Amino acid sequence: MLLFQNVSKRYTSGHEALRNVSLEISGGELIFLTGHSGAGKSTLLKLIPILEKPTSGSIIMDGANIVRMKKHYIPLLRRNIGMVFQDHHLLFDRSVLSNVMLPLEVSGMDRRECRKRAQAALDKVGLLNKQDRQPITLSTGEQQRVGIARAVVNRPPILLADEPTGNLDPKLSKEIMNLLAEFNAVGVTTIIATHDIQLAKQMRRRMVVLHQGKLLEAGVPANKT
Amino acid sequence: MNTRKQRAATSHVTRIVQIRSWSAHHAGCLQESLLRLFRTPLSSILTMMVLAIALALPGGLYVLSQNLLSLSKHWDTDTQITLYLNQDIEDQKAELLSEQMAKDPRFMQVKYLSRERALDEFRQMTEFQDALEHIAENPLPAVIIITPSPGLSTQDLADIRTELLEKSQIELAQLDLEWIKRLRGIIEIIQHAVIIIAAILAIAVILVVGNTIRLEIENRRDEIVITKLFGATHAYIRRPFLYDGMWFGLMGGMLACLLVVAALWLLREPVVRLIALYDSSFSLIYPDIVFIAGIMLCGGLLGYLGAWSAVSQHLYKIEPE
Repeated sequence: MLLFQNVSKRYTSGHEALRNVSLEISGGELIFLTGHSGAGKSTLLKLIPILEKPTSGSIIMDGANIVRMKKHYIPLLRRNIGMVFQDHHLLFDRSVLSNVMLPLEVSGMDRRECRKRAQAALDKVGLLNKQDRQPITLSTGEQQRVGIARAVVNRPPILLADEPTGNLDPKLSKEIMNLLAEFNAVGVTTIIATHDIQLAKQMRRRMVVLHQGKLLEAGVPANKT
Repeated sequence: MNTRKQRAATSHVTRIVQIRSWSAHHAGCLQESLLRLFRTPLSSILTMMVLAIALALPGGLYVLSQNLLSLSKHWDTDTQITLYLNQDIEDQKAELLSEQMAKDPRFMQVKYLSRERALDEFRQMTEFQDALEHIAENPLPAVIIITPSPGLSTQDLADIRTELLEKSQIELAQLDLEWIKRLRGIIEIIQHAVIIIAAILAIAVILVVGNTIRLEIENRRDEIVITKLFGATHAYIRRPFLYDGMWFGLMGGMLACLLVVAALWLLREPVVRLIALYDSSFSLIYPDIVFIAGIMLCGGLLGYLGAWSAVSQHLYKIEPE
């Protein structure tokens, strides 16, 4: 599904964010990417939707090296990737429902169909009753759930979450993780970057640790070792 | 074979769906863009007013030149040759001269104005009555006004003028054509000025819209970043801004037409008074539908170009991190 081969990333400032990372993620897997802040977790995630390009190495997705992908195709690639952010990146000038509809509208879907699917996604995260609210009026946990609904609304095969629980208390964090695991259960390959190793351990899934841009253990799925 | 047909049919359906969603997005953008303009009415109206002034200037000059042109045509048909006679010619002799001229087939009408009558007319038409009281002797010469027969060329008229000048009784022969020629010259200058001013102000419109759209792009930075994150194409992101620019231009053009009409309306009375003096049947030409459509189209197009310039400079710089 997703294969990182000897991937390095050096920023123009000289900072080496990733050093020779090789990692294989199989389809339908849920994997935790942990490590201290600045270990390179975010950088690794950003390489997948080509928000950053690696300095060297290749990233194979479904058999194609996305590093060499033409600019023209990047939007189409991103439509297959759902993204959840620490600060949820919601637009405060529109309703919850409009926020969730955005990825569908971008892909050119009929508005009524967009609405229906966005409502279904909101229903899954338990916020259908708040669809007409402004995001600013929701709690942090609810905002993060809206972010998740938006990330999964177009049913992407890959879901990326960068510190999705960064601003939440332990109870809410657990809820969010469980919610992400639910989407993984229906076949979405899910990659979660978190510095909260304890929480990641509780989830009993595969976990890889990054330290100063290096992967500390073999990046091969358990069933292949 | 069957599968290929099916595939073709499926791809045809996909294409229709794509076109439908594409046109739906266009329609949506068009509408949303218009609504957005009204959501910030003050700044929108200010921008539109600037555009309107920039468009109204060449537009107004064009209408002015059209009016002058029509006016000059009016005067062309009633060109006259005015003969000022020597002061020392007696009334009777002068009248005789005019009667002789009336027999000339080249002249359609010959009108004689004695010195007394000329003075009377002058009194009626001007406000110098008091001044005239102080002048002992009538300073005005007798005048013969000739309306040439229609169909004579400018050259013919000039020849007639020289011929008449040779007569000793005639002090001065004035062909009104001269100043019509000058008027035509002025009109030509205005017409050229219209083109030059239009070109300069077109650039101004592009810059104004470009700047407005640049600010709009800055204001909607978050939205752009997020739509890019979720796979929006450049065309998708660009579209609403291009429509914004087009609306600004169209509305600016509409306001420009209103400005021109308002200016003409304000000029109407003095013009009517002036025209009355020349005894002409001329009436003001107001902008017609072609002019209005032209100005709005130009405005819309320039707005679109302005938006395009802003978008091509700034939109691509905004990338999600």
